[in-house]
Amino acid sequence: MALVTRLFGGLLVWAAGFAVIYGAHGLGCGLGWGERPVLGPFTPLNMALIPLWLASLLVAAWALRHAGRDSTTLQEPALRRAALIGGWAGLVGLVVMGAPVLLPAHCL
Amino acid sequence: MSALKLHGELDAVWGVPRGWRGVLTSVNHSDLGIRFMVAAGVYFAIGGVLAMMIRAQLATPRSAFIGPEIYNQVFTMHGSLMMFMFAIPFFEGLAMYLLPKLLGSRDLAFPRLSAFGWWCYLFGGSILLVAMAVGLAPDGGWFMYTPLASKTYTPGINADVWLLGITFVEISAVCASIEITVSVLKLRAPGMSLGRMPIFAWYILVTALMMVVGFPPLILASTLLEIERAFGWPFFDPQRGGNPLLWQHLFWLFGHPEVYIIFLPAAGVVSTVLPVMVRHTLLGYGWIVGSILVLGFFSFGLWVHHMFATGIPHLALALFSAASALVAVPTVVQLFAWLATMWAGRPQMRLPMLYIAGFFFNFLLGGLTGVMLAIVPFNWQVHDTAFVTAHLHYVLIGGFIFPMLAGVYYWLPRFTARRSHPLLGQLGFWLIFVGFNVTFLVMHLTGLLGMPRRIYTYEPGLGWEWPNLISSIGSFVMTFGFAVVLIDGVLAIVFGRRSSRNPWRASTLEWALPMPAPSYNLASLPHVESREPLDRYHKLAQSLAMGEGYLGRTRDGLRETTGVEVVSGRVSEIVILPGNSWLPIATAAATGSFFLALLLGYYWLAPIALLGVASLLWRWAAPLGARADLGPIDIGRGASVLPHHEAAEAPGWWGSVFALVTNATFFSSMLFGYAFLATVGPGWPPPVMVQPSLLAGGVVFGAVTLAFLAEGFAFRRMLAGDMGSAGTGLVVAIAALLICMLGLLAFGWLGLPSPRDHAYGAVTWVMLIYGALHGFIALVVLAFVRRRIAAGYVSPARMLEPRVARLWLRYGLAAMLIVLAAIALPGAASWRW
Repeated sequence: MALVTRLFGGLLVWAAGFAVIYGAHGLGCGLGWGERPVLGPFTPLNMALIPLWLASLLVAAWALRHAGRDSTTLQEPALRRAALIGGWAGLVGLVVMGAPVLLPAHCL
Repeated sequence: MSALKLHGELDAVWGVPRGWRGVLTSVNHSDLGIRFMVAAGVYFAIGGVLAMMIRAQLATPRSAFIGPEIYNQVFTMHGSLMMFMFAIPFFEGLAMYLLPKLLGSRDLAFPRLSAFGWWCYLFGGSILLVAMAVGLAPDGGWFMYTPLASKTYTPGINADVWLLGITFVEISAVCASIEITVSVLKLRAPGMSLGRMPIFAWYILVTALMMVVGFPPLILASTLLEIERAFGWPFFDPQRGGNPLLWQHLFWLFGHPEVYIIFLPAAGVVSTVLPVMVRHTLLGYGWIVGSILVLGFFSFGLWVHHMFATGIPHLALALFSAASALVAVPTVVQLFAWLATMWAGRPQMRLPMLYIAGFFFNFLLGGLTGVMLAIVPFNWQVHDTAFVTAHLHYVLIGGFIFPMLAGVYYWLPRFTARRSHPLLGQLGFWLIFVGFNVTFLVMHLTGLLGMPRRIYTYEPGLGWEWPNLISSIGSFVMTFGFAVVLIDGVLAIVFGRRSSRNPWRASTLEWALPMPAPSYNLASLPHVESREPLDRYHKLAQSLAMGEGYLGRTRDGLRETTGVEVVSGRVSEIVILPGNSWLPIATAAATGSFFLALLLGYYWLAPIALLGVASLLWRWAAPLGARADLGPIDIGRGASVLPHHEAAEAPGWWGSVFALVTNATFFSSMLFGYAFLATVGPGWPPPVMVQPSLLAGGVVFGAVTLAFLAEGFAFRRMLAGDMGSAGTGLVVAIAALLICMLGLLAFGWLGLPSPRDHAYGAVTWVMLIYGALHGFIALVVLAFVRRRIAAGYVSPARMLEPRVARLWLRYGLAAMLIVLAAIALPGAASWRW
């Protein structure tokens, strides 16, 4: 388990963040949260998704900070580098893939 | 002991009987790997002939070569055979053959599972071929979209052939994925840490892990559609609360990672062969490992880009469009590592390198059109046109066939101990390369001119005549190229010059084996101290053949190899592998009987077949283990370790972990389907919801708790050596599991609506059956442990089987509780006694 969290930490955060954002989007659209703007162009769905996205970015940044630093589990430089790449990929992936939650039109 | 005498002793232990008995009972990884590759090659040839029929039909407008019914079967079978019967089994075969040799092991972790997978593949593929021969082949496209594949629009048996035949074959893929994952993690030479693994093993490990979680959604989708077709449960029927898009989600949850599942092993071949061809160590090992991991994860976040034209919300389009464009980055990281390695080395344009160069050219084009297709407006313009056909062939032929042919030529001396003729091979390459580009480059234009995919003919005057004719001519040139490669291979096997032990002067362990490879691979196992062991120690092959490494002798006629700690590669146990057996083919035949019974509509036969499978699996586990504690055993080079059944985390335990991960993914996909239908399914909320019986629910909850506690008690008593009390605890746990199952079914009977009336009833019943089935599996596993205690196979030191049973029990209990909660909570308003 230590290997999984140390080597895949950033990517697991990405997977969880992506699943939560996409799931919340589906649920929000199903419940009609994206139909009527309440604050400028933003709908209640925006209000739900943007905090989720920002929270996932924070967790990904935390995972990146710790990625590749555990030299007990990941004794070899190649593994630490792979973990670091995974950490960056998790954060950048969430920034790029989650950015569309800032767009006003969601459920069209 | 002389090398020859050691060879004789080891071959007596690891060898395969001569004749048909050997063919039917062999569990040797080299035999099975070669069989997979050869059979996949045969399917490739059949798929290729079907492709020729497609191109002959489309060469001219209003062609009367084949009619629409046959054409539909032809393009469906072409796609299905190439994806399920060729690409995946081919790299599985390559991995099965190579991994133990690359990792310095004597076989894979579960040899009988490999053999079982082989027979499932063979029998499942035979169902598809027989159906095609009698004109009953599937005809709804390789992705079997609903509602076209539903009973209303495909009333015959054709779709059932696909659903059941492919699912049967997928058992093989799932078996291979677990087999490969555990083998890479556990069965390596001592000293081979994760960071010293050959790069090919990393690629295959990530691919296998992707298969562990990638295939269950498709297996679930096929199961649900078959249940809908056979029994009328409306998962995908919008008139009764189902949704056809659920099929697409489940299919592409598998289907997109599948592209990377196919690409990654091919990229692994490139990363292995290219450094040898350019005479330089692979640069950026850590970067490549990182990018493979990223690809493995990101590939699961792209599936909706296959559904851009289905009318899903714009936000979903934007999310998946961004993800689809981003996935190019880790792919390009590998590309730069390969370019840097070539730049640093001295490339030699030998045949494998020629195919790698072809891969660079073609795959780059496929990747670029992939990024174009990730952009939603462009995707809408070319959706379902020949442009997409061209793109996917550039990715799959460019990204899989070319690297695999590089690998076949590179490892041909390893497979056959012979060398091929370079000129014939080069002729084959150029015919394939030119033919491929003539066929598919122009097909982009055909698509941009508006020609849809999968149409059986077209009218003249649309501007599609000449590009189609060019594509057809090119495809026949390519076919000649493949024929030349086949002839070259046969000539090499029959007349080729004998190869030396390491003809390419490579540095990985597979070249340390004698030519041809013996049944046991290595007479003794090396201590690995670098990623390129043959470079570091030039006399390694001779030293190992003399028995100077680990396990350089036989003991009690047992098949022994080393198991290591996953990360560090420190030797941790002797793994004792089972020998040749009739069980794999018998179990595959029983499994095949189950699928055939469903296919032919003899539903009463299906439970009998399942009973046969269960009783064979019981026998499967019975011959393993030991009746006495052996303690540490000398393995040579001054090391002593425990046998695997006395070790903490033996391969069997890891195998169960990954089997349960597969299972959990299947279950999660089911929960996703339930949530998807509840959120966007038409006709939801359903007219009749569950009326949860608190009594039945309470009984299940209480019985789950009792089973958990009783097993915990039994486990502690086993550790204390009190087997009598442990047996009693297991009997209590088994009784509690029986109550769980019956309570769960009673919960359904008392409260759930009919599964035929609405998708709600269908999906909740399926979940309930899943929960009850896992209660039954846990019950059988505990009964097995109870029997093993009685037979003396369990002691405080020999706890492998109770540990494995604990995994299955706890998963089963958790599944039952989740099912109960998922069904009962939404109906909480109408709880009753």
